Amino acid sequence: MSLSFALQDVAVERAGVLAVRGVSYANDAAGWIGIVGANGSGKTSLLRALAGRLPIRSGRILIGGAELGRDRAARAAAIGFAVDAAMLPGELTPREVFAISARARDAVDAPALARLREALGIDAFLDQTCGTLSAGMGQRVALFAACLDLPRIVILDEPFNWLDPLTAYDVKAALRGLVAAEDLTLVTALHEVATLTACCSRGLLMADGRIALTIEQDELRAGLSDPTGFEAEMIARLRGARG
Amino acid sequence: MPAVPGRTLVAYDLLILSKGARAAFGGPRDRLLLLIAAPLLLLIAIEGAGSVSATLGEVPAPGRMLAAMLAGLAPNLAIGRRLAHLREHSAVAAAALRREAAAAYAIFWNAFPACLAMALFLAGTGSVAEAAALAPPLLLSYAAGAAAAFAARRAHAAARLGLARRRAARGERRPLRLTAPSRRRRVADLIASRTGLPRLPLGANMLAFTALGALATASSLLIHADPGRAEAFAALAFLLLFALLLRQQAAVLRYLLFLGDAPAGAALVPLALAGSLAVGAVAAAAGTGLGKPALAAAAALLAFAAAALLRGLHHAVRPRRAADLAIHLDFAAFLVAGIVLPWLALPLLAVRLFLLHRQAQTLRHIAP
Repeated sequence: MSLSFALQDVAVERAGVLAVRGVSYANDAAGWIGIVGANGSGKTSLLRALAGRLPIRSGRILIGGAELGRDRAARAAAIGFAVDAAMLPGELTPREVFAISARARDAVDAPALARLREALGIDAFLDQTCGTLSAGMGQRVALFAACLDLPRIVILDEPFNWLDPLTAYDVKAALRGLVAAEDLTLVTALHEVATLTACCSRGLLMADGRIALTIEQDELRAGLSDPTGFEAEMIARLRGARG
Repeated sequence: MPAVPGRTLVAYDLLILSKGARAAFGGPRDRLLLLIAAPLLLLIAIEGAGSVSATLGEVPAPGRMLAAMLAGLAPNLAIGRRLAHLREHSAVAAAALRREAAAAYAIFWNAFPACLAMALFLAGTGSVAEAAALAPPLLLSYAAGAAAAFAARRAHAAARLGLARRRAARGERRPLRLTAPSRRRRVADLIASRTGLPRLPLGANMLAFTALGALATASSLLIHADPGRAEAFAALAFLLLFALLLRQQAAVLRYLLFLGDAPAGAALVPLALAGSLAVGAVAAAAGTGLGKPALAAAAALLAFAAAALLRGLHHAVRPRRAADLAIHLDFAAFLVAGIVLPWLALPLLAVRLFLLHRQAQTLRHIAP
């Protein structure tokens, strides 16, 4: 069963600036939500705040109907979140990171993740220390750690950065499978319109800390028939939203 | 069985520490160095502890309370900083955000420094009864220091936020990660963030450091009319400034290594700032009768370059924490060698730098 979440007039402050300004959004069904926007538009701050990694300055965050706006620990426990790959402890191996990540949320490795694990190819470097991994390998470790105990909501910030095209393709397929089979709500910040149209059930366009536009699934699927035209239209909307 | 609060956090850090130590001493040369340095360091620590304890024994009770409070302050500043990191950037954030787990974590990491402080403070007391009477107020003072550290962190965060808000109100944009227009600008940003200096280009920072060097020398002359004491004061001031420069270097260095710069070249980035300090000092000291400032500055710069290279190469071949540990141990070992066998210290340093450089040449990725 999917877990609903809602943001009500949420504001997040980063370095004295309101990076997120009064965002309201409600999601009550499993699916893949893609957030696109320019650098500095507030995507990362919004995702980190939702996952409890940052405090909110004002507003409410409801997860499964419970108000958790002031309870970062409960948000972090309820939501899987991929840490910045550069922040993985260089001394530990992915196997150790997974063991400790699962323990932190009092859960165990889920067999449903076998396809994702295969797509990420992490078994090849499970016992190599994270400090010796390339950026792409580190990214794969961070992605898997976020999904480890199969939380109902998973947040991935620009998950396909540094991944080679083959791995990115397989990982997208595995994530789509997880969303469909496990009633997962996947929220990702994206920098590619192609992934938004091909994978997401809903798109959010962010500009200047606000959700400037919500794109529904039928519009996204329609974009598949003319990807170039759809991308041009999205870019025009982004420019308009910033202007 | 109910979960022990903070167990995950402590286990996470202990695992990182133990694996970091193993990584720092993974090679046979590192182990040999440890084998030679460890007993010497232990002897020095025991000797030092005995002398500190004897000195503290003569300090009146209120002085000892104050010292215990300060002893509680330092580790808890580090614990607070680590907890903040775990809450935002780690895979154990959910545990670190739980109040009771964070408290248990803080208590665990306070156990060793608190016991050490108590042992030092109580060893110099005359009798067991006196020690038993003094222990509770000393522990309370330590706890007050710990609480002050967390309060200071909150106050510092609030002050930083206030500053950031004022900057934002003036329309200054926050710097975005990895989108700064050029490497030089980014290095200036990093120097500024580590030192609190304004976000200036390297040239402007060099000018600022020249002025700082001149100011430090002139102040030492003003404070002490006696040239011998003034020289000692100036040397101490420069030692502190050089140490601060080395401290801020790690972030710049790792950024340059990440960009693909050669380890030795990247390590010597702060040499320009240390050089500017020395130029300012020599200019201010000219004609004042202060020893041989040019010679002292050249020697200090050479020592600084060697220390910077050592740090740079360690950071290139090890993860951040393992590098920090290895650097401290290397410094201690060279210091001991310099005192016990002075003729061996320089060749030992040269061999260490050569071996580390050879190891760094073969690397593809730097450890985060």
